[in-house]
Amino acid sequence: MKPVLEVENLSYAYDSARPVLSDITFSVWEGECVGIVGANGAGKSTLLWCLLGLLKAGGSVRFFAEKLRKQTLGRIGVVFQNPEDQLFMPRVLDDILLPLLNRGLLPQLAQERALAALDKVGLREVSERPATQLSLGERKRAAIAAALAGSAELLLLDEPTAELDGRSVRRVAESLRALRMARLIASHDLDFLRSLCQRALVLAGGKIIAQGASHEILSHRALLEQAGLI
Amino acid sequence: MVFRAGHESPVMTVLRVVSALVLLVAAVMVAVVSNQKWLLIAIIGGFVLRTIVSRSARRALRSTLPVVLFAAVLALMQWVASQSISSLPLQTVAVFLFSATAFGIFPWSETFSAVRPSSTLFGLVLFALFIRHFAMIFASESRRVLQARSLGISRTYGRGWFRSLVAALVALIGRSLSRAERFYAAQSLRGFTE
Repeated sequence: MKPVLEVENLSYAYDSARPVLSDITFSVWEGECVGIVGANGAGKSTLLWCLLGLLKAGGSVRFFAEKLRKQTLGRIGVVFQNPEDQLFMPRVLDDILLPLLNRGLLPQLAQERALAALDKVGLREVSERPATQLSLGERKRAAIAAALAGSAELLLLDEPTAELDGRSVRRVAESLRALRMARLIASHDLDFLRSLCQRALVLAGGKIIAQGASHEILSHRALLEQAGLI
Repeated sequence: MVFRAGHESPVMTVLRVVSALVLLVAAVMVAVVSNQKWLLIAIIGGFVLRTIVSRSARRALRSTLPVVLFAAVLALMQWVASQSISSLPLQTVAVFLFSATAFGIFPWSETFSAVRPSSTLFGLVLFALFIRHFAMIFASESRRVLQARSLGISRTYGRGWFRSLVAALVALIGRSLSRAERFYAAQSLRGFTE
């Protein structure tokens, strides 16, 4: 197995008096599902933005053994916390088709891939509807489908279960469990992460205070209390 | 919307394109008219059209209210600065009514499917869709902020109404900017901002 993401000594501060992330070091391997767990404001979303180069951070971030380049982005799928940040086309299908057409894929092939991605998350029947007419759970799964359609080898997800009801959480979990690529999921939903991830990192005060097998980390009461999660 | 996207006849699609273009031309025309009487007539006409397309006067009013508020602030600032008000606030409302209605009836899905990805028109359609999405973000944030304000104050024009309105408008700008920033970030990762 090869690492798909290697992060070393990553640090980020809005200004020198307010460090948000410091000395973050971890890696994600092929096919692995890793959870980043932390309370609100722990820096989970900021960490994802830093990894993707949307915020300029110190330290080293390497995707597929190389620095992040424009071409590398095609191998990474990203699902934002709010699906409205990603879906804006007249139909859900168009939202998934668009990046494929933009990369020069033939329309017929792009259509097949987009429908296959919708099948993976169980949303083919709503492909003709605009995202605004879907429930939040369906919109989250549509955003996952949009990230999957580009043959991503690594999926980054920011709070995929935020504001979802129990059934929608289960459906999102089922969709993610069926995937074989590496997944890095930032969330504070402990049950969700426990059911999906092999490994978990605990983020508190902008630092990783623990990392290891998710069944151990996510049932360590003292650790979770220290991180403000229970 | 009355004119729903979907599997409609080509005649209907053409009709929607033409209607949208006519409304866009009207939006451009009201932007250059300075006669306030004509602008008021255009606003009434534009509002009637918007009501027909949204199938509800209340819905049309709700979506127009933030723009009317913005125009009112603009008029107030002009009056404070020079004791006179130009046609700009009325033009703002009129342009909004015509262009928002045009965006509402335009057959986006059909147009997107018909335009080849390699053509120049594709970029233009994408750009229009970005603008449409930003407008929707602004409208939804306006609704939320004004709703939150109405829940937070006991009387619309009672004590603190102006202060709360200013705070709501400031919050609206901040929230719209942060959502626009996230939208831009998401689209740049998908390769659409080069």
